Amino acid sequence: MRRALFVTAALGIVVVALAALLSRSNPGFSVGMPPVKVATTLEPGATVCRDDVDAPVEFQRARVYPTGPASLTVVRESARRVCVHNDGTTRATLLGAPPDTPPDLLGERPAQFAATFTAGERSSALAQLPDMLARASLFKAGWVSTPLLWVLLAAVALGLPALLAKAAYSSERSSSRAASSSSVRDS
Amino acid sequence: MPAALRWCLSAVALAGVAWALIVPAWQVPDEDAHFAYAQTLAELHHRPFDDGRPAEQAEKSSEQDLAEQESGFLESYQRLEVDPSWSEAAEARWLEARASRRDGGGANPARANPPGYYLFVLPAYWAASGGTVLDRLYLMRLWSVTLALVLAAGAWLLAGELFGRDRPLQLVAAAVTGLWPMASFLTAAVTPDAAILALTALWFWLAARALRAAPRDALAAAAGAAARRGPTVAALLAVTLGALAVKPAAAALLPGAAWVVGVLLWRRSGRPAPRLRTVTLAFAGLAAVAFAVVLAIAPGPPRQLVSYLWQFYLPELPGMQHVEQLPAWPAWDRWVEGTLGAFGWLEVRFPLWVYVALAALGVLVLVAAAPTLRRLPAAVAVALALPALALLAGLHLTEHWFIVDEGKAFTQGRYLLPLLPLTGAAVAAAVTRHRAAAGVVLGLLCTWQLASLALVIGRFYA
Repeated sequence: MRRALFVTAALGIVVVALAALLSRSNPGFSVGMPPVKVATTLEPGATVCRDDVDAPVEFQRARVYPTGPASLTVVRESARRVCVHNDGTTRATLLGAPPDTPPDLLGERPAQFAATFTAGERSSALAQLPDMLARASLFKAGWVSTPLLWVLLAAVALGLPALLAKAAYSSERSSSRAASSSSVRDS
Repeated sequence: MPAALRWCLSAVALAGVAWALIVPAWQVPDEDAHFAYAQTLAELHHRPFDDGRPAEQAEKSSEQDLAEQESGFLESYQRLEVDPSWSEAAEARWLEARASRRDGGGANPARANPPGYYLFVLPAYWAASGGTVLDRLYLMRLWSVTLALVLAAGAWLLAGELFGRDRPLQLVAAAVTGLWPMASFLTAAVTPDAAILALTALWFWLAARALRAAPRDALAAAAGAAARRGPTVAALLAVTLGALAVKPAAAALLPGAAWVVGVLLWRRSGRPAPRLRTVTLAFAGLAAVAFAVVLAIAPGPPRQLVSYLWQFYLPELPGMQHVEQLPAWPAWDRWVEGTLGAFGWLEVRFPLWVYVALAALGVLVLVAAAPTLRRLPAAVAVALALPALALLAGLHLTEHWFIVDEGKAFTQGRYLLPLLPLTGAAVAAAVTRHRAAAGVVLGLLCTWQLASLALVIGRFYA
C-alpha cells in the first residue's frame, strides 16, 4: 500500500511540476476589467489618466482597450498614474469597467478605462513561483510571510504523502495484529 | 485514537492550513457575507437585519469595505482576467488607514442563516480582535479547519460501522473525505458549509450506528439492540438540530432521522421486518405523494418545473420553454465540475480533460464498490440514501423557485459536498478486494491536492 502511495504521489508531483514548467506566460496585471463599457472618448491630441493604478513596478509595458483601430500612447507617469494619449487624427473610444465594483453592479456605475501591464519576457509558472508566493503573502494576516508559504507548499508536496504513508503503515499494522490475534483465538 | 486516524487527521490539518493561508481574503463563495455576519454578532451583539439603510452601505463594516477595496477583492472576484492587488504600496496604505468595524449589521445576503456557525467562529474573531480585519479573518479560517478534522473523523467512523474495524478501509474513507480538495477549500474558509460538512459526516455515522443490523433470525436480540440505541439516537437528533442551527438546508436530514427512529421503534416492538416489496411500495407511494405536494407548492405551472428538471439533466426538447439561467450542461457543470473542483467564486477550474478523467475514475469506483455496497443492510442503505435524495430534491425545488421568482439560478456543486462521507465509503468499498489500490487512491489524493493548490496559486498570483 505504501509503495503504491509513494509511486503515485511522486508521479503526481512530477506531473504538476512539468505542467508548471511547460505553462509559459507573461506576468500580467490588469485594472478596469472586463472592458465591457465605454469609459471615455478621446479627441485627437487629448490625454486621459487614471491615478489609482497599483501595478507592481516591474511591469513596464501597458495596453488599453479601444473599440477600434486607434493610435494611442500609454505612459506610466508615476507608480499609480497611467495616461493614454491619442496620437491619431480620429476620435478614440476606450473601454473599461467601474473601479472597485462587484460584477453585479458593473452596469450601474461610470467606467474607467481598462489597462493591462505585462512583463517583457515569457517565463514558466515554475520560474514565477517565487514572485507568486511573495504576492500571496500580501493582504493576509500580519504573521503570514513568504517563507511561511514556501514551507506550507513544500509540506503539502512532501508532507502529505509522508503523513498518509505513516497512516497507511499504522492501519496495516493494526490490521495484521487483529488478524493474528483472531487466528490465535481460532487455534 | 487509532494511530492511522491520527496521522490521517494530521494530513487533513496540513492541507487545511495551506488552503486557509493561500486563498486570498473572501475569495470563497459568499465568504464576505459570512464574515460580515460574524462581525455583526461580535461587535454589535445581534444578527444582521434590514435596518432600512441601503445594502451597499449597511451589509458590511467600513473596515471590511476598505480591505475589500484595497486588496482588489471587489474588482477581481468572479473575474478571471483580474488579479487581486499585488502591490506592497497598496497594502501599506491600507495598514495605515482606519475605519469603523461597528457600522455594518444591515441587510446581508447571509442573514437568513441561523447563527450556529457564526457563534462557533466568534472565539477566533475575538482572539485576533487587536489586529487587522484580515488577522481576524485568517484566524477564523484556521479555527474552521478543525471542522475538516471532524469531517474526516466522521467518515472514518462511518466506514467502521459499514465495513467493520478494518483500518485500511477506514483510512481510505477518511482520507478521501477529508482531503477532497473542495472540502479543504470550504472548511478552510469562513462559511457555514464547513460546519454542515462536519455535522453531516457525524450524522451519517450515527445513523449507521443506530441501525447496525441485528441477526435476522433473532427478533428478540434485534428488539433488545433497538432498545439500547437510545444514546445513539439522542446524539443523532442532537446533530440534526445542530445542523439546523447552522443552515436551513440541513432540513434534508429530517427524513433520514425520521426513518432511523421509525425503524428502531418497529424493531423494538418485536415485529418481523416487513418484506422488501412492501417497503418498496410504501416508498414509491411516499415519493409520489411528495412529488404531488412539490408540484402543488412550486411556483409557476407544473409543466415549468418538469421542463426545468428535464433541462437540468437532459437536452432541451422542441416545444420546451428554454431555461436561460442554466448553463449549457447543468448537471455536468454543477454536479461534476462543481464538486470536483470549482474554486474561488466557482470560476477557478481545471481544463475539461481533468474532469472527464476524474468522472471516469468515479464510474470505475462505483462499479468496483457495487458488490460490497449491495451487502449493506437495507435499513442502513435507506438511512444513508434519504438525506442525499432530500438534498437533491430541495436544491432543485429551491432553484426552480429562484428561476421563477428572481430570474436567477441557485444550485452549486458545493451544496452536494455534505454527501462526501458516502463518497469516501464508496471508494473504501471499491478497494475492499483490491487492497493495493488503496495506496494508489492515497497517492492520487496527494496529487489532486497539490494540483488544486497550484491551480489556485496560478489564478490569483500569476
